Amino acid sequence: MAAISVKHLKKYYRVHQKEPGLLGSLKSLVQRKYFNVEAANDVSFEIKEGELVGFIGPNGAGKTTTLKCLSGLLYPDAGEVQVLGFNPWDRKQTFLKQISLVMGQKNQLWWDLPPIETFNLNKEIYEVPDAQYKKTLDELVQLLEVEDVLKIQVRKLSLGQRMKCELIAALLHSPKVLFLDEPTIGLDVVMQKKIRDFIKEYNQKHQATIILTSHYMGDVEELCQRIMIIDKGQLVFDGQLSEIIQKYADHKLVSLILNQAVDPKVVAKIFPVKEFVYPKLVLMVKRDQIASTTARALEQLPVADLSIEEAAIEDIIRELFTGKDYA
Amino acid sequence: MKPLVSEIRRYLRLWRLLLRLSLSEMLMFRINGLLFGLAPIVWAATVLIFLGVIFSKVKTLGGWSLWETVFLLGVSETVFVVYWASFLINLRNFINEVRTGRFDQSLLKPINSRFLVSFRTLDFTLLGSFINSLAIFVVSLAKVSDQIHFSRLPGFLFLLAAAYAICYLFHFIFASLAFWVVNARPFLDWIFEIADFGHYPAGIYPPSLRMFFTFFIPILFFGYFPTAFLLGRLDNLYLGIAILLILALSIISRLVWRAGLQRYQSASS
Ligand SMILES: Nc1ncnc2c1ncn2[C@@H]1O[C@H](COP(=O)(O)OP(=O)(O)O)[C@@H](O)[C@H]1O
Ligand SMILES: [Mg+2]
Repeated sequence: MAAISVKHLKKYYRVHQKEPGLLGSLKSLVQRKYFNVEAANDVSFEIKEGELVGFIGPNGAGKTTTLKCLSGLLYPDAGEVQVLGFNPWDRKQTFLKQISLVMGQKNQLWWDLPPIETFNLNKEIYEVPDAQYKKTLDELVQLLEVEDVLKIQVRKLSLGQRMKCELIAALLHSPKVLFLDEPTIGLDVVMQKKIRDFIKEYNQKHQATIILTSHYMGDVEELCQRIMIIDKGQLVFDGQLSEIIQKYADHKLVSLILNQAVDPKVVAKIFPVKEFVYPKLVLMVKRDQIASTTARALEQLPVADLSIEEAAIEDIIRELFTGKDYA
Repeated sequence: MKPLVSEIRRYLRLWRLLLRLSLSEMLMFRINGLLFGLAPIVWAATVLIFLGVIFSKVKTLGGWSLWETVFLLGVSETVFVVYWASFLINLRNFINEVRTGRFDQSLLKPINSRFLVSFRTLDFTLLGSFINSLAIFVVSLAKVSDQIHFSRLPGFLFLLAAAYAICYLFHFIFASLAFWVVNARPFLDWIFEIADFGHYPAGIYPPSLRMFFTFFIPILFFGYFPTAFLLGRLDNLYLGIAILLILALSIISRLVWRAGLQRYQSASS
């Protein structure tokens, strides 16, 4: 049985439009214009136990909304969601004791107290037995190297230290399913790497099912074999990361420096343009066409310099979103 | 299903822990709050002078003597301050949490979310006000003690407990409006301010207003009814009315809460 199963999930937010200014405010008091933001629009997927899946997409794509539906915070407008055999929305205590949702931008730690106090409170709330609590806490503290900060007020901790403590607070009850929403946001590269390593180790050691959202490609590239890409509330890709790489691995980036301005529209018609900010023009070209395309470019464009590079996955995915197809 | 007793013990233990945390949180950065401000004493002096002026003109107010009225004030204020420090502060925080999306964290916990919302913290800074109203209560109690029958004590205590239940449920319904409107705080505050009407002998109000304050905005339960009962001025009937009111309000608040949770949109991060 799948640990997580989502069928045709829809979640709309009802928001009202407000015109600017005082008059607008008054108007909206009398007559409100509502419209729906389709944050998740017919999303379906299944995740097996122990899988670590990357869930990526641009800002506002619907990642957080989907995770909130999976953890029972939001009531879906349509579709079926099952996590560990539960309907999340029922928020049964037995369900909640087996999951955790960590949001990089929202914290559960008590701001004016040391993190250890929040940990103790969670122990009581989740009814973790003493021995298990001690063992888990020791393990997490060691893995994340936060021995020194447990007794310092949360407000005095750095962002990275805080995130580590957030993770501990979320993992003390050893959840089987873990939703990580942008856990590395705002962290420096070193700290990102540490958190990443931790997630990987946690997944392997505990067979935890994990969905990780991020807009840092690095997170996903390093951790996940499977990725789901969401855009405008819809899944646009669900498969192996390697598939995407393969599909586009035979593409290369041809960078040209022009020494004379040309009309971007004309260029876009005859070349596979990835980006064009004069004087730099970048083309995404299939490997077997590199020779001919390059020749054509040299012939038809005022080229001053030329270089060829591998396409980064990040670029590939960004291209996916803009709906261009360079095949 | 766990046995009820162990469930109750679990929640009591949690409550104790939450209170310990909020106390140490407060000690960390708001220690001056504990130094008793002058405000409550000024307030008490004002009201007492006000009552003194009134009673220099009249013998009774709504049928109550001066010391009975002061006693009523002592009871109402004590109940009121404790209510403020325990429930009202939590309901206010709750409204904020819904707006900011922090309420997510309460919903995620494997524990009754209404409990977590309602009992998270105690406002210890009201200690000064509490001592102040307790003083009024004790002093006036001495003056009216010969009117009090011990047999009425259980009913009085019951009505006090009912006062909390009624007031809490009633305010909870208004706080739940947070799921519908962006800022529900004013609703809660208005309703709370009206409670002041319950600090005076209800005889001064016309019957229609008394009915209104009994059944629709049941503020008379919040001080007047318990005190009147203790002084032998209230019928046993009101014990029954209190029970019915609690039942009705529980049902309504439950329905509103459920409907609200379905509408909860969290907040975009
Ligand atoms: N609480 C909310 N109320 C109204 N609109 C929201 C709310 N949360 C998210 N949205 C909107 O829904 C869309 C999806 O948001 P979200 O799920 O947070 O995306 P992501 O996590 O992928 O950045 C966005 O357009 C966002 O503005
Ligand atoms: Mg998000």
